[in-house]
Amino acid sequence: MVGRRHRIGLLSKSVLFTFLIHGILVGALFFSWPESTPAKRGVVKPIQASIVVEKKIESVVEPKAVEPDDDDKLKELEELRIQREQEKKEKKALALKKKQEEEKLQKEEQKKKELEEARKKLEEKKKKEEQQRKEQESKKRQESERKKKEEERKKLEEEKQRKLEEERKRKKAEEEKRKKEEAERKRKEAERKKKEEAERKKKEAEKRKAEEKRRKEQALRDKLEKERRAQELAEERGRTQAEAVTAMTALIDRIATAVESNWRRPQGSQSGLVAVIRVKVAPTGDVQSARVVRSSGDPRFDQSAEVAVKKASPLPFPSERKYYEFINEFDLKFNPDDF
Amino acid sequence: MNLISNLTRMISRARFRLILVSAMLIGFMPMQWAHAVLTIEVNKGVEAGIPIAVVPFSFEGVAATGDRPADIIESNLASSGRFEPVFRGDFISTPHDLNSVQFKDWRLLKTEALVVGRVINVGNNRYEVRFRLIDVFREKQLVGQKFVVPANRLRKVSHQISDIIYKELTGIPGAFDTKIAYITVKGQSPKNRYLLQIADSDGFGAKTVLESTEPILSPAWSPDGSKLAYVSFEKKRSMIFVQDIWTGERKRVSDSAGINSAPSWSPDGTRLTMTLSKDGNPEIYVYQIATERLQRITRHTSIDTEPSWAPNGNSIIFTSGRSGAPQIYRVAASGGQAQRLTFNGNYNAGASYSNDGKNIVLITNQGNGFRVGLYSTEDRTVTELTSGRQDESPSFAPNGEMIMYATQKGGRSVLAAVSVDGKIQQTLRFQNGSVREPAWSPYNRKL
Repeated sequence: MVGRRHRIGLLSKSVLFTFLIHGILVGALFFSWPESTPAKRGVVKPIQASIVVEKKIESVVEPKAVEPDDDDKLKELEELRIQREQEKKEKKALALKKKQEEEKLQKEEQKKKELEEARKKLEEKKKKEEQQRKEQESKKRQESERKKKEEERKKLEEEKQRKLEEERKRKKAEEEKRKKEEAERKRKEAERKKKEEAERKKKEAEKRKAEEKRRKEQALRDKLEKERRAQELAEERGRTQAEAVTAMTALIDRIATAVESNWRRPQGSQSGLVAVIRVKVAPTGDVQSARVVRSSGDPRFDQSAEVAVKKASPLPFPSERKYYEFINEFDLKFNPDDF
Repeated sequence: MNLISNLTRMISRARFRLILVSAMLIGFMPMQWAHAVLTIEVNKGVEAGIPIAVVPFSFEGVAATGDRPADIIESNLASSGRFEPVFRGDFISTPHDLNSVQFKDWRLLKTEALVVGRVINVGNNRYEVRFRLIDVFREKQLVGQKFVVPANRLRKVSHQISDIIYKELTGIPGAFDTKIAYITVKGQSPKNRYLLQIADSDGFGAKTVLESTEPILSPAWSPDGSKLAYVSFEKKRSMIFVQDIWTGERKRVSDSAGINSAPSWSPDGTRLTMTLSKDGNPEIYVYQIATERLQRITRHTSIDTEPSWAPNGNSIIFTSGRSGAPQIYRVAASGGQAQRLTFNGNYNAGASYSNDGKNIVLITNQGNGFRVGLYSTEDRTVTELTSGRQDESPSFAPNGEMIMYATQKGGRSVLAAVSVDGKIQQTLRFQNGSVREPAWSPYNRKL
C-alpha cells in the first residue's frame, strides 16, 4: 500500500511537469486563437483540446467535392462557395499573420528556451560528467574490486572447480573402477551363476535320472516285496489258521477234559438230560462265573454241571493271551453219552 | 472255507464235538470270534461218588460214648457208593460251623460237600447234636439241623443225619436209619446156636430177638417194620412164625405138614405168601393173617417156592423149576397163569422186588457162580451185580439203592452190601459167627 502511494506520488509529479510544459504551449495558442474552448474551464484536458484543433484544421484543408444539383441551387451554392472562399482567404491571411507573430514569439520563446536548455544542459552535462566521473571512478573502483573479487572468486571457483573436477574425476574414476569392478563382479557372478545353474541343472538332471532309476528300482523292489509279503501272508495265514485251529482244538479238548474229569454225573438221573452252562473265565483260567443258561429240568443235573465247571477252575488255559480273546466266555454243553 | 473244513475235520478227530456258531467260522478274526459264543460239549462224567468232607464234630462237655457222629456219617455215606469221603489227613482246617468255613480250603480238595457239626453235652445224659451240610462250590449251607438225644441214641442220630445228607445230595431218601434182620450161627456143629438178630444197617448195635438151638431161616419184615416173619425149626420141623419185635410176642402162622418156608408180606401187611408142601409138591400160598385163611396160588408138578409180593400188591413172583431149571415167574396175587420172567443163565432164584417195582433182585448163575443179579422189569434182563461164587439171600434196602446179601468169605458166611448199580460192594463186619439170610427193614422211625 505504501509502495503504491509512493508510485502515485511519482506519477503525479511527472504529470504535473507535463502539464506545466503543455500549459505553456496552450497559453501561447490561446493568444493567437481567440475562439475560446471549453478547455478554459479546466486544465485537466489540454491534450484533447489540441487534438480538436488539429482536426478542425484538417477538415478545412481538405474539403470534400460536392456535385451541383440544379442551377438555382448551384448558383446559391456557388455564391455561398465564393463567400466562403472569401471568408477563407480573409481568415487565411489573418491566420497567416497570427501565425507569423506566433512563430516569432515561438521562435523567441524557443530561443530563450533553448538557451535555458543549453545552460541546463551544460549544467546537467557538467553534473552528469561529474557524476559520470564519480560513477566511473566508483565504477572503476568497484570494477577493480569486483574484478579482484571476481578473480578471487574465479580463482576460488576455479580451485573449487578444479577440486570439484578432481573430485569428480576421482569419483568418476572410482565410479568407473567400481562400475568396472561391479561389472566384473557381475560378470563373475553371472558366470558363477551360470556355472552353478549349469552345475545345478546337471546335478538335477543327474538327480532326476538317479531318482528315476531309484524309483524304478524301488517299484521293482516294492513289487517283489509285495509279492513276497503276499506269499508270506498267505503262508502265515495258513500257518496261523492251522496253528489256531490246532491250538483252539487242543485248548477246547483240554477244557472239556478238565471239566469232564470234574463232572460227577448224578447217579440215577434220567438219560437224555442236557444242560448248558455259560462260563466266564479270567486269563489265568480261573472260572469267574458259571451259570445255567439252559436247564436240563433236573436241578441236580444242572448243579452237577455247574459244580463241575467250578471244580475244574482254574481251567487249563494257554499262556498265549491271543487265544484267551476267543474263549473268555463260552458255553459248556453237558450232554452225556448214553450207550 | 478252508478253515472251516480244517476246523471241522480237526474237531471231529478230537474227542469232543465242538459246536461253533457259523458266524464264528467265517473267518479267524477275533471280533467275529468274540461275538459268537463257543460251545464245548461235555459228554463224559466221572463215575464217582460225591466228594464229601465230614469234619469230626467238636465234643463239648464230657464225651460219654465212643460213637462219633462224623465217623458214622462218613462210613455210611461211603458204603452207599454215592459218596467219596475226603481223606481227613488232607483237611486244611476243621471248622464246626458255617462262619468258620474257608471255602477256598475245601475247593482245593475238590470236595463238593462239607459236613460240620458239634456235639454238646447239655446235661442229664443228654446231648445236643448240630450239623450243617455245606455246598463248597456254591458256598452255601444246604441243610442244618439240631437233635437232642440221650447218649445211646447218638448212633441213631448219626444215621438220621446220614439220611438227611444222602437225601439232600442224591435226591433219594437214605436208608441208613434202618435195620437188618439176619441169622447168626454160633458154635460148632452139632452144637450150633441160631440167633435171629436185628442190627443197624451198618451192622452195629446187634440185638437178638430169637435164639434157638435149631435153625432159623428167612426172616421177613412186616411193611410197618414192627414184626418179623421167619421159619423156625425149633420143633425139628419147619414152622412159620410172626413175631413182634418190640414185645417179643410171636404167633405161629403155619405149621402144616411138610415144608413151611419163605414167608413174604403183602404190601398192606394183611397177608403172607409162603411155600407149603402140604399138598405134596411145594406150591405158593397166600395166608390171610386176620382170618388165617390160606389160598393156593400155584399148581405145578415142579417146585414153586420163594414167593415175593410185588409192591403194588397185584402179583407175586416166585422161583419155579418148571422149565427144568430154577427161573423166576410171576403170577397174579389171586392166582392163575404164571409168567416166566427170567431167561438169562440156568439159575435164577430168591427174587424180590424193589419198593418202586422197577427192579427185582435175585441170585443168578450165568456160568460164573451164584451171584446177586438184578432183573430190570423194563429191560427184562438179568445183570450180575456181584462177583462172588456163593452169594445168597439178596434183599433190597427200602430206598432200592442198596442190596444186602450173604456171601462166603474166609470159609464163613458174611453179610455184604452192593449198590444197585453194582459199583460198591462192602462186607459188613460182625463180631463172630456166620451171618446169613439178611432182610433189610422198611422205614420205621421207631426202629
